[in-house]
Amino acid sequence: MTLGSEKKRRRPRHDTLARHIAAMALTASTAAFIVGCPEGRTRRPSLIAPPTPPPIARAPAPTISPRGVERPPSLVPPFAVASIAQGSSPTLVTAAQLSDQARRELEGGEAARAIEHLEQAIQVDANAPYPFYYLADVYLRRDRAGEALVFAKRAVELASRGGYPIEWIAHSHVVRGRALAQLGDRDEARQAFLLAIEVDPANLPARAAIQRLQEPRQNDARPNDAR
Amino acid sequence: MRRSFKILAATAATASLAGAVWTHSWVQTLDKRVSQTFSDGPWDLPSRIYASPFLVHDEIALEETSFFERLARLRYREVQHLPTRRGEFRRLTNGVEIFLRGFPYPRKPVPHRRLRIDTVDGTVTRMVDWQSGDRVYVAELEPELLASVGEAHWQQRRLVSLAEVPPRFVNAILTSEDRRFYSHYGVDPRGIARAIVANLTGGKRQGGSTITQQLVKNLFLTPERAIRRKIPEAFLAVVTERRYSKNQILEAYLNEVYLGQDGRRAIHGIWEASHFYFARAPNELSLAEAALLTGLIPAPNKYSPHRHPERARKVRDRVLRQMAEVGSITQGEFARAVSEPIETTPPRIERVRAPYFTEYVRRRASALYPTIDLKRNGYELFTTLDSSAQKVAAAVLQNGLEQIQQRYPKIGERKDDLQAALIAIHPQSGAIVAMVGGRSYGKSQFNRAVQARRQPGSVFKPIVFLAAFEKSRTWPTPITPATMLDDTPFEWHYDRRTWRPQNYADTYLGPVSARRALELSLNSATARLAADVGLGPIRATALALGIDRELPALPSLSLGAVEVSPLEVAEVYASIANGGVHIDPRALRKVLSPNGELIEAHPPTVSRAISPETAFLVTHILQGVIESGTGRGARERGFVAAAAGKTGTTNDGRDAWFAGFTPNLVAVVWVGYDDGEPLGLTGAQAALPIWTDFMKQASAGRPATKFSPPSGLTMVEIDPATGRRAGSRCPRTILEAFPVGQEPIAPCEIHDSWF
Repeated sequence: MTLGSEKKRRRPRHDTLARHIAAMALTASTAAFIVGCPEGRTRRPSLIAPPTPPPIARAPAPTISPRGVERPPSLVPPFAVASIAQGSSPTLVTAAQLSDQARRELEGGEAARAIEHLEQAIQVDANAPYPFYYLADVYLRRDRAGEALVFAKRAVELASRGGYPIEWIAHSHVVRGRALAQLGDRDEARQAFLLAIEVDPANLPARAAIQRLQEPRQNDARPNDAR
Repeated sequence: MRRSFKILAATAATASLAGAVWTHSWVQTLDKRVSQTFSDGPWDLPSRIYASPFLVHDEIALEETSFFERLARLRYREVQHLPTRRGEFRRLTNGVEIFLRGFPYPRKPVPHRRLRIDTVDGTVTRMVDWQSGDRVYVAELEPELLASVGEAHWQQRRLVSLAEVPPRFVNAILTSEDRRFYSHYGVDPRGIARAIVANLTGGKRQGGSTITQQLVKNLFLTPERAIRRKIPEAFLAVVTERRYSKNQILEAYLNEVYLGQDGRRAIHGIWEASHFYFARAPNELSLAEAALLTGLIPAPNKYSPHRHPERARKVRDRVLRQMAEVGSITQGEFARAVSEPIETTPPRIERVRAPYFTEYVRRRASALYPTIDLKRNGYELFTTLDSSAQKVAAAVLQNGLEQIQQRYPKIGERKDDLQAALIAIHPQSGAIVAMVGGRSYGKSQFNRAVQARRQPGSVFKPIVFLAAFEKSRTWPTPITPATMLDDTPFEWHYDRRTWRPQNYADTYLGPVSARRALELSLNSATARLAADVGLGPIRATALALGIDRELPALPSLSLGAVEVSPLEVAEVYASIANGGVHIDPRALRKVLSPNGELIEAHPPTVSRAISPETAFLVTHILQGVIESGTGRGARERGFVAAAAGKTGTTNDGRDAWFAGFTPNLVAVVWVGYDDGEPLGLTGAQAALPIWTDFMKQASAGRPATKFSPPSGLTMVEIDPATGRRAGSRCPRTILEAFPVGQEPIAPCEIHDSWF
């Protein structure tokens, strides 16, 4: 028997021991791994979901949210395209188309998109009255009567330059009157509505508005309630 | 022996236990790392800043409005056949056929559409949707990407969900990268064995990494190829598999995978890669295109279709062959796909650079939404910038400064110090359409268009005239453009002090009409007018028009001795151009969340600053500045559109200004040194050429418009020498605007008199 064969004889015991130790370590590690690995502990809906942004706090804002509570339109705005006269410039026609699109979007509650289209209409033809009319309407619905009045006056001024049907001019006066009424200038508002009726006697919203103006205000009716 | 065995056994047990504890803790650490990474969002998603969409409509000249350049920047592909895929167009003799891409919009995306644009001499006369046959009045090109916030990361990524990726594309990736993806546990022993055998037998080198392993390697580990990296990779893969579903992992992989390089910008994810190589969304890719992208995964730069189209073809065909072998596609589909040529869009299209503007937008957005991390949260900021106008602005400003330096050698000595700013606004909406804040953003990030405070000099004078016309409307004798002023040396006494304004070159014209005083920028006549009106109305008018600071109650204010920014000057002129209505200048139009929800839109904020009649009176005079006053250089340089404007020069030529507008566009140019050293040039010499070049190019190809007087004005022919109604013998007459009721009645006495 050689030394080598003796070594050979002893090795199995060591090997067995080493194998046992390794097996125990591996078993324990695997068990530890399985225990440690938390299967489906918290499954997220999607790995690629973008990082959840913190709630959006807005700094004191000079602008308004387009999705704020808005009042429904109080009158059916006229259709811009329908008022286009034959031979109008292509840019005016385009501005009218965009304004009509904006009108549909306003009716569908998409104010932000409507405003973009109205801006585009102004970009295409800054002398078209339609987008200013609808912008006045949008701002009125948001209780921004001062700005609505600016747009309404522009709509009246542009519509009065000629080439527009009387219905359109009358409606522009009506939206101006509504802005004035919202600002509390009842006399001027009344004048605007009267002007609308003078231009187009068939303008019902103007008549209705005058009727409302003539109704006594709550504060006027009960002046002493606050005391 | 038994004792030693016991010791050995105890040691083994302790080692096992220690190993178990260590492994447990290590796995916990890995798990925490995986879950933390994914819950925080594995990627930084830079917010993107977009320009305004371009509107195509009748009367637009396509070439002049850079329509085709815009298409190139948007990576539309010109084809010779009828465009059949989104993003293609064909030029015709009298028009263009284009397959417009749609673009996302909250609630209602802007749809893709096929359009035929008819032109006459390059000008659009009619647009038709060639599928429905409907007349189209306006079409929008999708907004151009200007910049991403946090581009220092040099990674671009837009996330797609698994549902947005066509199954065929997914099949291609699984077939090529990990066929047993849905059956293994993150590590694929068969794949590893196959790779080992292949590598040992000298076959083609293969990687045994599963898709999960590739994902965790990219997200958590270094790219080194070593066994010590493989072990944690395998553990991480298993941890990830146990925590997340297969589809979630696949989705993450599709968004993480590296697919090439665009200069310094790494292309990650299949959305970016689809757009980078094909300018299409993943769901618009053909089978061959999807196979090509899949083939790039092992070595995107080695197989880049831009640089190595032949190699790209080989890897594409290999993927297609594998797909056919496993039955993902039919032999017919395989044959058709391999016969497709390799067609990619050009690798790099130079984006319009607007660094001053995008930084301005970023600051505005950060101020408005302090809780949003624009560098990480992937918001989309839609702005008002017109990309072509911006490109023109940057070019004319550079060119203008170089010309100044060539023409005036003394200025050339301080070559890099000479600075300029240009800002352009759409007056009816307040939209900022172009902004250049200096000659090099790389060298100086100081945005002179917004942050500089400089004396406006004579560009302030129209405010004096506006205040005078507006205030005097109720006077017995209102001031009109025809009112004669006294342009002689003059002293203004105030607070026991005396101010003596001087005319340029100390030259005085004596009696001169208000119109001529402004056209020629006469200091003395303007100061006298200011003294008559008073500083109060002038200050109030300036504030209403857009000057946003406390103005000194000093006589020198009337000649512009106050520090303002070019943006404020632009606001003032935009208010005049807009018929007296002030609109807050806007750079942001709307902000969308990463999910495409509208966070906020920014409609214009408006107020009435002055009456439309007064605004027109000054506009009409400022038209005269361009026709025959200090701004006549604009006409000499070939600008023919209806325009109004005013030069401005401060003491010793420290600041050279030109502010002016057409009915649709306001632009202000400032030139000077940051340190206030005299430039020695007038506004007409330094700023006007830049303004003119900008206006010429930015207005080109759009319908010509004129200034229209409001209904409260009347136009009367007068003798400019007397300001009276012109008679038949007056040698020269002009058409002057007057508020109704203020027009001159009496005829010119000098020329119509017999004596």
